[in-house]
Amino acid sequence: MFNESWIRFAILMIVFGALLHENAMIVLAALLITIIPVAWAWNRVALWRVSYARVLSENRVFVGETIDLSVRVTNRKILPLAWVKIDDQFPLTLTPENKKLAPSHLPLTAYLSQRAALGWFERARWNYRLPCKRRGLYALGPARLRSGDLFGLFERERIIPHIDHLIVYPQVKPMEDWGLPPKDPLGEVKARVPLFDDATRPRGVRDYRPDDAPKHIHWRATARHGELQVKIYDPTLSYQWVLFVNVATFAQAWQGANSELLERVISLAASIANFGAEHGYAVGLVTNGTWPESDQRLKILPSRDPNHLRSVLEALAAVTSFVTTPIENLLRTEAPNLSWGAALVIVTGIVTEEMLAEMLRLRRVGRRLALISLDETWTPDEAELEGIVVRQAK
Amino acid sequence: MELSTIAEIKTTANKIRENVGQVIVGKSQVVDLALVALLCEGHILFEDVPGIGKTTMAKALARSLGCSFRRIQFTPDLLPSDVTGLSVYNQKTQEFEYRPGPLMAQIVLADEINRATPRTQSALLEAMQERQITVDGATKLLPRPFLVLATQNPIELEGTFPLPEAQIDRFCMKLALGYPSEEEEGAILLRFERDEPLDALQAVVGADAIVGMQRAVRAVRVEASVRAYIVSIVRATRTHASVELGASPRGSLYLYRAAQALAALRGRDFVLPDDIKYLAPFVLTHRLIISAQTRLRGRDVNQIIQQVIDSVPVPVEQ
Repeated sequence: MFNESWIRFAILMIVFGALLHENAMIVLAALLITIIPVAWAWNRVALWRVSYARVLSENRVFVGETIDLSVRVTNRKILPLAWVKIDDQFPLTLTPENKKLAPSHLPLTAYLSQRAALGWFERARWNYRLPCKRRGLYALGPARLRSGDLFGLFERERIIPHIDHLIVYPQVKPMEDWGLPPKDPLGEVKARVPLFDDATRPRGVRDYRPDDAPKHIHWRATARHGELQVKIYDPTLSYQWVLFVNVATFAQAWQGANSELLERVISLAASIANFGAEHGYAVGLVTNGTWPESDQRLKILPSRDPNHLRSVLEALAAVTSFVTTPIENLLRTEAPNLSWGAALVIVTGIVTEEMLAEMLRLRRVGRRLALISLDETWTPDEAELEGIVVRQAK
Repeated sequence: MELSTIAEIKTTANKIRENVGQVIVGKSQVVDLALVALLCEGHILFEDVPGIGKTTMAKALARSLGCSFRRIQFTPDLLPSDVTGLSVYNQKTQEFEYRPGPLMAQIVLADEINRATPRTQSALLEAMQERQITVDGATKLLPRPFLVLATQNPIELEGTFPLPEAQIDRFCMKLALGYPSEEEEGAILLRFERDEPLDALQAVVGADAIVGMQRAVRAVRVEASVRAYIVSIVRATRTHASVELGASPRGSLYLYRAAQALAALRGRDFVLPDDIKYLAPFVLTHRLIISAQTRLRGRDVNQIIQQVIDSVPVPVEQ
């Protein structure tokens, strides 16, 4: 790479050329002295008013979908760019269909590399198809731009810190695809959380008591009976499911993770959450997995917000296979914090004795429970699990 | 329509705007849109997080108008009869007597409307559309002008119930105030430092004048091409792939009338396509139900409305 020492070198060449009467050496040195400042100045402004952008056709997709990615670099100045190289940091699992990613020193990361020469006020654009094969919360970027002068003497670098996020939701399938009853996958587990007396659901009348609000007086009944009568009401109910998703795929954490089974568990949980939301349930999520690059467990309380399913699916897209605690511990610590009437739905790829023992304990204290298992090696003992809805998904 | 009438409307609107501005800092766009709704006999739904000034805005507007005003605090145990009034049995006379509810006012502030159960919310349906209520089989006309200013918290907050579609469709506009800017927030602290400016607010226009303005606004001219533009926009919401339920004909009507009112407020006796483009997000957004798939893909109803507006060709002068 050229630097200031080359100027000293060129001056020396002139001196030696003059002493040795070597005209060619003097001409070469003079040429160097002329070119180097030009090249240096060119390089200084090469990346000035140069921008880089990625445009994704979607920011949230489901596994199996393909999106369009357009990247473009723009030179917004008179000085042309002799060359520009862009290395955009990409997750290794998001490889464009028609482009190979360059290797990176960072784990699970690669570079989407482009090279171009841009004239004044010129833009270069590359279009790719991006198949989303694995669920996840992906970050695209930052990008590194490199350019230099026309003679290739100097080089400059700039980091574009902007990061685009892409969320790939887990696959959502109909209940029958999992071998579950399509209309009522959790059977009798429907739990009802009474909120408050619903004034629009009168159940009957009774005699007035001094602490009754006058607005609850049933005037027609009062006229009929000749005594003050008040209405009594049924409560407004809310239906809640809280999914307990077990990311453990082996009985012991040191045995590692079965990624294929884990993906099925996540997809099953997403499918149940989607079914619940579509059928008017407030769905919550608790899991012993963590956010990426974090040791924090995921917990989303049930809600009727129309955008709530999005939060649940985002969490399921992000959850990692790192097991923070066995699912039975999670049930023990989290169940007391949930509404009494909420149904606890355990979604798991393995069934252990400890898990069943905790479920039975919760059942005994009056909790409503359902177990949706993908464990093919386990055969449920219906007598033992009486009162718990057990489903084996396929 | 006479231009002097238009000028009068503009002057009166400025007075109301200035009066409300004594209490509300900034938010001139929201005040203008509220005036549009008032002039086109529409009702307004203010939706925003608590503490933004929804109720204060509604009260300031109500006080400025010099009409009878009642406030209903919607709570989960509110009964329809708490809103409409009820017939009470008088044991002395052995007859039922009607006791009017708070709906029997010209301006009704339905505060936190989505805290009541949907069926109680629906007690307002007949009043909002037909400007009458029916209690125990007897129909009672509501006073004119009749304006419902409702406030609601975003639906994701706990203890709230979504408004039924039929109810939400009866609101002409849904407005959000949004957080004030840094300077505005400083000005709010200063303004409310010692006094409550709302207490000192006086009416600047009477009920009869408002009814007159409402009538006058109906005479604002709408060209056939502009009318067709409204219809195209509303129909496009029904065929958009991301929309489960598009805007209703009532939505078209409100957009039409709101455009007339906006034109009058801007001193014109004719409607421009720009009026429609400006008003469409406020008048149509709350009427649309977008699909769950669209929500999952991170798009919201504002983006859909914008797509619709961008997709419909704007009428141009031949």
